[in-house]
Amino acid sequence: MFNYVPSKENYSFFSDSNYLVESDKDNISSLPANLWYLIDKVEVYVNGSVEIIGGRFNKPSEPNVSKHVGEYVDGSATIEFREKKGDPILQYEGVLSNGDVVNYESSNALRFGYGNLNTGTNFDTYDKSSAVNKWLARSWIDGGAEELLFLVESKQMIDDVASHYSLPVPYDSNLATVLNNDLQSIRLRSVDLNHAGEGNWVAIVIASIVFEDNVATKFRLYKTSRWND
Amino acid sequence: MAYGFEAKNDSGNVIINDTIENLHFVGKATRGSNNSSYGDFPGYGGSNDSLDGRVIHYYTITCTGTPVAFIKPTDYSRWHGIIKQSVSGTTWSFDVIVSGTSASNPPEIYCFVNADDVPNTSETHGMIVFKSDGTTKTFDSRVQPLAITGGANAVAPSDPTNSSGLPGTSTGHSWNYSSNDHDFRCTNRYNEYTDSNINTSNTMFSCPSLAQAVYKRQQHGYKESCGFLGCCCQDHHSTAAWWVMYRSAFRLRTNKFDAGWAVYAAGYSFSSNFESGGWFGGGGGSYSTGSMPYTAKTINLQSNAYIIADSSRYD
Repeated sequence: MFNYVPSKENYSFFSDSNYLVESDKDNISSLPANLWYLIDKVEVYVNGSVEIIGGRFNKPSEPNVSKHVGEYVDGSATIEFREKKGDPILQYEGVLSNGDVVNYESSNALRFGYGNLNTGTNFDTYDKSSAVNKWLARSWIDGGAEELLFLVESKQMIDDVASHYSLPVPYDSNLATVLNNDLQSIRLRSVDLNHAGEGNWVAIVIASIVFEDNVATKFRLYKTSRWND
Repeated sequence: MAYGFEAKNDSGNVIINDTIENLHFVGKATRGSNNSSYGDFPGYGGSNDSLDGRVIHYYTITCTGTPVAFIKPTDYSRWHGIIKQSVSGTTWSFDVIVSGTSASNPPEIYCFVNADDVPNTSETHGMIVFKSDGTTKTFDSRVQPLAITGGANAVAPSDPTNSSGLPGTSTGHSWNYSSNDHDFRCTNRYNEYTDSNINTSNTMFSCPSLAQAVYKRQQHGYKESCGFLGCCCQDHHSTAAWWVMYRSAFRLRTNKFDAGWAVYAAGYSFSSNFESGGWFGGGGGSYSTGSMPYTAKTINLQSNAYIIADSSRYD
């Protein structure tokens, strides 16, 4: 699936012929040691097309070790994430192949939702669409673009945000149907964001606005897929 | 004592003689800076967030000898205690804890030293009692000897928190569960001692703040997520912990001496591990406002003597 990621043959996607099969469950030790299997596939949509593809990869022999790797489909860059302490929730950074580093900062809303933390801000100094109820995080490249990520709660919310920033909606027609009928299926994960208890966790579907020189230039939607989607 | 002066009270106890060194007023300590905090758990915004708060006022006085300090509250509704007394040269420092977060209405600290350590006075009339060496004073009526108006023994209750019992640790919560269910405030936890000599106008007291307590509530959460065919199942653990360190503190009410607690420090820590980081998935998150000073326990809890006096004698 990857075209530009270094050692791309070491990553197995759901549809690849070397992906896991039923019998592998009993023969984990026989699986190729260098092969990383896709667990969560992430596609970042902009203006109806995929801009970035990647995901979380694991090995059955080391289930608590993950790699998060991706590439811009136009070949302009690849990205790999690595641990970075500092933020209470988002403790990683993305390293682009050109050397740029994508930093992350969780919002007050995300921190409160995760762990009743009352630190952080909700980025009120930015031009924020009032259609959004929860701004979740900010990413930035030093001297480069910034990105405000928010919780998607409906297709209508996405349409309203696009209108606010005068940007094209990020989804295509297929995703529009998903957003209308099965929004939670493209969730990154579920979190008890409203402290409502088990059974009432919130499906975290992410979209973002990219700012360059304080001007909104791009509207992204993060679609996560799993092996059985 | 072949010669000399000896005074006894109605109970026959010696009050003044040539061996008992009486305390005399040397002055009020000067208040400097203060530090106010802990009206709630730092960094936490959920249920049972409130704490009682505390202000630590810093005082100094320069004198020879070792001063005995009395706290004269300005706001008698608040809890007070001297949590630290130290010296550098002849300058003594006192850290005084007061409940609440407002630094207004700080208490006054009256200091007393042995008669021989009180600076000479120009007063020409009075009575001085010397030791047998003929030069060391044990009493000097010219420099305001300490008159104790009451006293007894007092001890704070062993459990400092409004919610009774040790809060403890619980497991089996959902991932990221972090809702404090223990009331860590301490204003309702005290032992009261009746003393008819106490008023809320002039009474000051001296009592060491020795007892310390640390209480902690901890919650562990968990979930599991798996990929294809149960592949690569990952454990997601979370831990939320609230802790408070208390120092014993005291309050004066009309005819009552209360021994209780004041919050000294507090913290909230939260950690949550998910899939190792990336794509906004979150890393092995952790957050903490500070390390606990001790493991959860109460120490130095014992009955302490307190004495009271009328501050207006020294104003």
